[in-house]
Amino acid sequence: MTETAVVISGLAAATPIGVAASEITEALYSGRSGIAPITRFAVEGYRSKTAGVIKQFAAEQFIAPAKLRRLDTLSKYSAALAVQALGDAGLELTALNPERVAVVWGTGFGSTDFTDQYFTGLVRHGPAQANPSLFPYTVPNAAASNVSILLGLKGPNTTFSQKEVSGELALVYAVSLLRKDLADVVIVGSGEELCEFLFRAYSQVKALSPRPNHPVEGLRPYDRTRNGIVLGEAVAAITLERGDRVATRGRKAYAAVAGFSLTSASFGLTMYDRVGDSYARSMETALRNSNVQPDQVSWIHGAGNGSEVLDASELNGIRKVFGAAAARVPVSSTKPYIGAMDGFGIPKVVLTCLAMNQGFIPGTITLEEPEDQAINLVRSSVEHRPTTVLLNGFSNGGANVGMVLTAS
Amino acid sequence: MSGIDAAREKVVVVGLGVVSSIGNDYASFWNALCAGVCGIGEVDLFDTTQYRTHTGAQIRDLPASTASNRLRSRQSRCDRLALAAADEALRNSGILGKLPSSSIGLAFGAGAGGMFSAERFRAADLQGMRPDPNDLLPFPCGSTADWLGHTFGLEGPRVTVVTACSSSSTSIGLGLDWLQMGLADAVLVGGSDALSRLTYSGFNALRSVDPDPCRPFDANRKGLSLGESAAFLVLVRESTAQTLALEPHAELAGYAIGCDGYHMTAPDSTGQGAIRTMTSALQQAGVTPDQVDHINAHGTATRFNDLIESKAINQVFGERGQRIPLTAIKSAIGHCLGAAGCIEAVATVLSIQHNLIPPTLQYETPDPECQVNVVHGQALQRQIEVAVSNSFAFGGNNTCLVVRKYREHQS
Repeated sequence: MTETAVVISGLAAATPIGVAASEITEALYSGRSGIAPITRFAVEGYRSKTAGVIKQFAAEQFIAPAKLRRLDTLSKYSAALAVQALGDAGLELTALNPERVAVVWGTGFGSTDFTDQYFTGLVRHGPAQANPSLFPYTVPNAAASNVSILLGLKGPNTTFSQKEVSGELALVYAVSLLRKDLADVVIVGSGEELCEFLFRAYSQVKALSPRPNHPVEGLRPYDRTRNGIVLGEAVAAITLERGDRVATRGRKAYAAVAGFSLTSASFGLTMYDRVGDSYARSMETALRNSNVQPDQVSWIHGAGNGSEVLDASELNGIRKVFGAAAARVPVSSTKPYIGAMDGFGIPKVVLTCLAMNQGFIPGTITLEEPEDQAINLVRSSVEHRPTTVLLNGFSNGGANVGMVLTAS
Repeated sequence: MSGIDAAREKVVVVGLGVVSSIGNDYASFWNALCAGVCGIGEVDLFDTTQYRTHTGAQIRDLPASTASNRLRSRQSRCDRLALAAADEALRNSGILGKLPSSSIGLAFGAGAGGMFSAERFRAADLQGMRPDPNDLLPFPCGSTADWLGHTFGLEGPRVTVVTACSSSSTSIGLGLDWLQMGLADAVLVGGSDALSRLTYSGFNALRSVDPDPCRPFDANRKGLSLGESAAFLVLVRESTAQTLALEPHAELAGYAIGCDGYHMTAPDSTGQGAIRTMTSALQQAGVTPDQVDHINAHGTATRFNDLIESKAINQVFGERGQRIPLTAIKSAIGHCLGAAGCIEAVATVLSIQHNLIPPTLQYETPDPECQVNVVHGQALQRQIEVAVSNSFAFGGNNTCLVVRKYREHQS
């Protein structure tokens, strides 16, 4: 690790498998999924009836309840997790220069719940009754803005949205802010809340796995019997800093961001790459940008989400880039633990850091009939400390982000 | 190209494209803007009878589309505007066919985006009618960028910025970063936003809409006018422009993003957020406040925005703050939300290129509390070397761009 390396110094997450690092790590290690039948809203009439939902997260433990009262769930969770991540990094808010703390967020939809509540009111009761207190939270940047407002942060602040790579793009921008010395600390977060409208929208476009009686087995990345995604809900925040700053504080970072790739492909609006060449390019570019050879990779934390096309093409891409090493390098997807959703980039980074920290590689727990026997698709936790992890982020519509995290 | 060389090189604007309520290409837009044409009128995109106000800068004739009926049925109004403006910007740049698709990036700024389509879906849903699933396709904020990438074969970095009214200014800054980091050799940057019931009713509910065409910086201003538009710029490094014999319109000298960290809808009354952002942008661009000849203001015509923007300008530029000619083009094209930053950036680039500042319309009574030099009445001819364009948004997300006249590098 060089002096100027960018590292992940703190983390926090609210996920379907828990809200405390220890709880999440234990679930990941033991193979406990957070996907369960939906009880938050009525699911009669839908083919798919399960999701990964955050069971309980007391944002009030971290932010005064009065300040949270009128906020959307994504904003509440984001602000509370930002506080928690700073604490985890050993950073005191009062000891930081607020102008040097940046906030960069990613989300596919923002607060769909408030947007839908607002619009439902408008349709049902007319414009005169439209609720002015909901409207400001319909913007996707509400979460990042509320983080800055509630924590009093005055540094650069922005929000990205690019379907399944929204969170990854936020992290990459945070790296560039640190490299340009525009911040001392960047709080990076991403996530998605699950509400009925979003569930209905996904059901309507027939993306969901229709296996009502298999609460866990519906989401089967890299399995021959996969038939769609299961939705999830998760929000996470991490603190990014220069490595030398963290070392000076006498702390150990979770991982260093060794490099990344930003690439895309031009095919249909909601399509994944049918061949996988763009996925190969994403992986290749990320490895090159990180000065890492394919055989140095200790874990490929895949994008596999149980969709027919994405998973097969990702494996094609892995074969192309890794060649003979593909039989050895463990590949797994953690989506069967928490479900799939657009803004899951930072939750995925948190899962990666926790596994690296604890020294194991989580498996694709729903895998029974691997799509490709020649690739090392792992089903359950492997007792091996991953030191160089390639994270694949491939979104429908064609935007891809590759990232390499290394043990610091 | 090594990262260090790329970081030192100038970034230039080589392509422009616009679709707006006053012109469906950048030249018509510019001519109308300088002639004082106002695009704000009665909105008939949806029924406004029950709303407090009925005006907006609506685009009357959507640009012609070459897409098949099937594809078009999947595109939102915002997608349609974006595709037409991006097409013009790419053609105007001359990069098409000259650079590999993998080296062309796309940074898009979105606002309400496909909300007009999603609303149709939800309204049908709530009224017990059968909704059209195609109306959901534009719902994800990132979908317009995917249309653009797909249509023009752009395979470099791709991102959508979603910071409401400053989205597309930030997208321009991102393109600058990518070129300086060597992640792309050309970038299409900009934004698109269409009128929707969500935003129209929302700003009305907040009582921030003027029933008449808005009057930025005027003592009698009553709020903003909403609008819709799309605008794009194509950026390359100077060496790429020279190699490919592209004609720069101007240089994009720098940008900064900042935040108030204050309130979701109200700007920080001290103006500190805006001051920090403008100051940082000037530093990033390597220019001093006294080099700035023109300000393209955020100028929404809400009481607080104009007051605080004026205060911040006077703070950043000192006694020159009240002399630098400033314009607020929202008086002609309304507040285009997600597209506001980039259409104002296009106007700023054209001001520098033509040494001409378009007038702020409906400006009659100077507000003694807004000590700024508002260009009004007619366009002002003025030599401009450096200009800044401000964008401030919900949530206190501020962006400031610095544009400079292009002077060819002499080696």
